[in-house]
Amino acid sequence: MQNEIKAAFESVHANDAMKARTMQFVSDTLAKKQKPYRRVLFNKWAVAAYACLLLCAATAGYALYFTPSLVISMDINPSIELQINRFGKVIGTNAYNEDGEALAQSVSLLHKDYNEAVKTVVQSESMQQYLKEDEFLSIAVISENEAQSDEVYAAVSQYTQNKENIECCKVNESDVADAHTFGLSYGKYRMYLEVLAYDQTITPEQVKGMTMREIKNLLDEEQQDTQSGQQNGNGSAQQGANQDGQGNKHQYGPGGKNQ
Amino acid sequence: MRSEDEVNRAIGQYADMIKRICLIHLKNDADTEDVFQTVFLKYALSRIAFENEAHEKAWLIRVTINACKDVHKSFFRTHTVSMDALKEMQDNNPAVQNMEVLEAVLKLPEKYRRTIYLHYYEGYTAPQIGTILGKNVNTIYTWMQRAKQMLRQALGGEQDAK
Repeated sequence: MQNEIKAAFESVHANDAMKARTMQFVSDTLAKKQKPYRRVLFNKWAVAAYACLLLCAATAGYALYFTPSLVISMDINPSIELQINRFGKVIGTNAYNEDGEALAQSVSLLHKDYNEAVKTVVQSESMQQYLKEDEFLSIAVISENEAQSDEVYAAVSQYTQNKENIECCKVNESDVADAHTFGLSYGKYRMYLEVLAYDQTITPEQVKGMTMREIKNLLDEEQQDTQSGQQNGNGSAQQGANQDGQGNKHQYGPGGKNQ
Repeated sequence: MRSEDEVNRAIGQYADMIKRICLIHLKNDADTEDVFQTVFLKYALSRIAFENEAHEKAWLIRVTINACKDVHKSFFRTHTVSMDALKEMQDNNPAVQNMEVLEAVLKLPEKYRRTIYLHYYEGYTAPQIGTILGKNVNTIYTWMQRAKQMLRQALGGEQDAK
């Protein structure tokens, strides 16, 4: 039986056509499998590169957006600074006294256009209350970026042009760089420097507890004293004291007020 | 992945064996061709490093049997008429000898067919068949014994089932 079974199976053969078709099928399938593999590999790299590019762009965009390039310091009694990015959007606020904190919390300023943010602060209830009480609001535009500060200064000046008790000025950042070390806003520190030019005994701590109206009155008094001293022939040393680091006359003070 | 030359060599060397395994499992040439393609594609894509020819042959037997089982799982194929493969093969290959023996083998239950083929044709021992099929060696001995008895009965007891 063994031999017969063997002989029976021995006569069974795969035909050549089937072998050829099988070989063709395997060759074709292998070729197809290799091509998609390369394509998938290419796509993987492309997707990875695109993802890296996107990540870099997102990181760069994030860094660019959240880097302040200009500060608008608004001081009346509340002292608040608006950090503005290069796109003119508010990306942060800093308050330098309790009133400033209360004001910052009462208004929504983040991601607003700087113009709109300034209007929002000026029109806020607490700010309007101070203005009604004849307080003095100083809006200082502080930046190293000349082009942007010019643009912002022009826009804010236009807004404050005909408003009572509001003044706007432009300050170079390096001139008021020490403000925050004394716990003062840039705007208040600038006023402190103005007074300091007339009165060497005044300290940042004293200024810190004063409203801007009080500081401005003090400055006016000092300037008047100096002028009267000059008229008496004693105040020649104070000439040019009311000039900023750029040699420009400030916009506030007698005759320079935007009203 | 193996080269086309390796696949070509394997087809030349093992096509007949695979055809025979297909014959004892499948019912028509179309299924046989499907199994051929499946087996040799698996061979081409396999990363197994065969220790020797016997290892390669045993692997191909195992893969072919599994491929045939997969064909059986298909609903349509399980409902086709049996013995078609033999007639189809006879039509295509009139030189087949001992047709009555082959018919008797193909009428056996599948597990017996497989055992008979591996033992009588491929010359594997019961322990080797057990390894290839993943069965206990005693089970293989039992299957061989029963298959021989059934063949003897089918062939009228004239054959010596040694």
